[in-house]
Amino acid sequence: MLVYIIRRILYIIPLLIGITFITFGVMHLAPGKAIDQITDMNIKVSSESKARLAEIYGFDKPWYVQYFNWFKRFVILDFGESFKDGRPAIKKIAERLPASLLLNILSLILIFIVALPIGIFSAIKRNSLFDKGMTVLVFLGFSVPTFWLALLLMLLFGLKLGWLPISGLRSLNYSEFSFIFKIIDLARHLVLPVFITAFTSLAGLSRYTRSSMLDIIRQDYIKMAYAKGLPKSRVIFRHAVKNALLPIVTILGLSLPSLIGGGFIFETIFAYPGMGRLGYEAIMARDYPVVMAVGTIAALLTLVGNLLADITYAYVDPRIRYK
Amino acid sequence: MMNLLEIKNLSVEYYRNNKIIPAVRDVSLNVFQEETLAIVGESGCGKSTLAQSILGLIFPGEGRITKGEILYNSDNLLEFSEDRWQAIRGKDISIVFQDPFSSLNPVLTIREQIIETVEAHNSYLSKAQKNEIAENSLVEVMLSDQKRILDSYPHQLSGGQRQRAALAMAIVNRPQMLIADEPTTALDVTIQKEILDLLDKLKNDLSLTLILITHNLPLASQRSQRIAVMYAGEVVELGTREQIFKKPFHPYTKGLLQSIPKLNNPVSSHFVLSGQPPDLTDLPVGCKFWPRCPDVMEICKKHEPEEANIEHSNVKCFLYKK
Repeated sequence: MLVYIIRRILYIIPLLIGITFITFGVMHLAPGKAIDQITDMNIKVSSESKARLAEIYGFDKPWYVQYFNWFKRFVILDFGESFKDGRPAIKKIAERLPASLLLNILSLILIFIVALPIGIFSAIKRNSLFDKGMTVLVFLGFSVPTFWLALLLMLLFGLKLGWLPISGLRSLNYSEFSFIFKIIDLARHLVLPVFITAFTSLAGLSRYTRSSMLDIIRQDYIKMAYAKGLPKSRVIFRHAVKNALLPIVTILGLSLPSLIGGGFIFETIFAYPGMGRLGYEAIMARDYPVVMAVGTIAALLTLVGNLLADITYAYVDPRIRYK
Repeated sequence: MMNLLEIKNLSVEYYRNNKIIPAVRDVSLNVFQEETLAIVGESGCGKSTLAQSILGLIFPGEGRITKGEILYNSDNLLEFSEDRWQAIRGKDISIVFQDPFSSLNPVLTIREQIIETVEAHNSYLSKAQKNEIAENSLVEVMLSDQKRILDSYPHQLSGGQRQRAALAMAIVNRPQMLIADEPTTALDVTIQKEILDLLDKLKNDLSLTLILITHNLPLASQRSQRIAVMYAGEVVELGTREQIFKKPFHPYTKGLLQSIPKLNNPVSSHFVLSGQPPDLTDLPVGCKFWPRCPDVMEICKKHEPEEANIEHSNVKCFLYKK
């Protein structure tokens, strides 16, 4: 098992290099450079100073040379400085990460708490009113555009009813609050983003759970469990659910990157100080070091998430032992 | 002899791809106390459905029993509440499925799977007692190294070991009746005999009544006292094994017997029952066997034969209509 894990970690290295290489190349395919924003619309900038600027940032060299220069610093875990304000990219991410983690962990927990029972009971009561109702509900969430739903709910709860704040993560006078009120303030700001994130992504997990359950309850060992005289609840929860949830571990591992990713548009609408907005702003500004840092960390988390899912799988499923 | 189980005019439908499949049609059958009754037929003839009906394992959404009675100790099981079914299943009547690779739960140990069977019917036992019962059940199915096997997951065992473990679960509560649904079909030939011998031994040790479901007529004749031959959801002939083997009445039974390759016969003379088993969603009018029957008459194409009683056999065929 240990050998397996070490080997898997070693595999991550070439993958990560490949991913960063491609990300860097794709980013350079996009028109415009970081310096264009200060130079293009400014008639006072001469072509000499433009070339000098390009030289400073290294834009005069071919992109793969630029990638190599970026990579040399990445190897010692230096993600470079933002073109925009000269601050280290990793620092900018560190500022935004907690907010994204908070939002996405809460959403993920909510999704699991709601989607698993929906999936399990839809499968047990297949084609029932509950099953059909839930199918409509989760696909409604799946099909509704997030930004549209966000705006509508902001309109209703923020403006019409005035119950909830509509943007940001903290009130302006947050620092004056006592600890309890700080929590309450955070919670009030999180209600809408968490609800919307969870509601719009219920479909995946609940449908997956449902089809996994449907597959399992047709198995011989479920018949066998009934044939032993076990009550239905025990057959469902001990025999069926335990097997049906095994693949869910993989989904959990795969959702790890979304923990920090977050919705670009979504966070922008809520003026939410998370990674999504940071990435969005960085792409718009062609802020290569920040884009690369966000991309690399997301890729790393995806790979680690996969690895963790595989390791967990071996732990929960006795049939799987890695050599 | 006493009837332990009596099935009267049982019909079962299955739903598949929005079609209703009449898997069992108007089957009447009795099982004597402590006998071995073999149910023989091609795959898809309804023998497994019949077996699962006896344990109430046809679930809504999957199919349903449309008519008939299943009398067990003269109680009609079909009138039972779910609670009473649960009390019977695994306690009075047990079943062993065909494929031990799919009938054991892959994520529970053998110990957990045996003990939960015990617990379902004896909640008052201590943990030590339950473990002892589990261990003894493995001794009864002649598995050595019980401690290791109890703590194994199914995938760590061989096919034969798994089927023995499944048998241990079936007999651990001392049932009166055991249904063995093709218990050896998924196993290696060398293991098959061991499992069948084990079934015989358990039957004697525990005074079991055994329903042995198989597609293998010679096997049925070696291991049973009476044989029911099923075709297209019906029992077409029911008789003692001597009768079935020496003097079969129904043309289908005759065909099956002639299909058995014999050691002293050259392969070229090997008789093959012509035609295909019928599509259950599109059964012929009249007798269901007439399109394949060598002795077909005009009446067979129009009417369904009634069951006729001839020399202690029950036969559904117009050849024997009195």
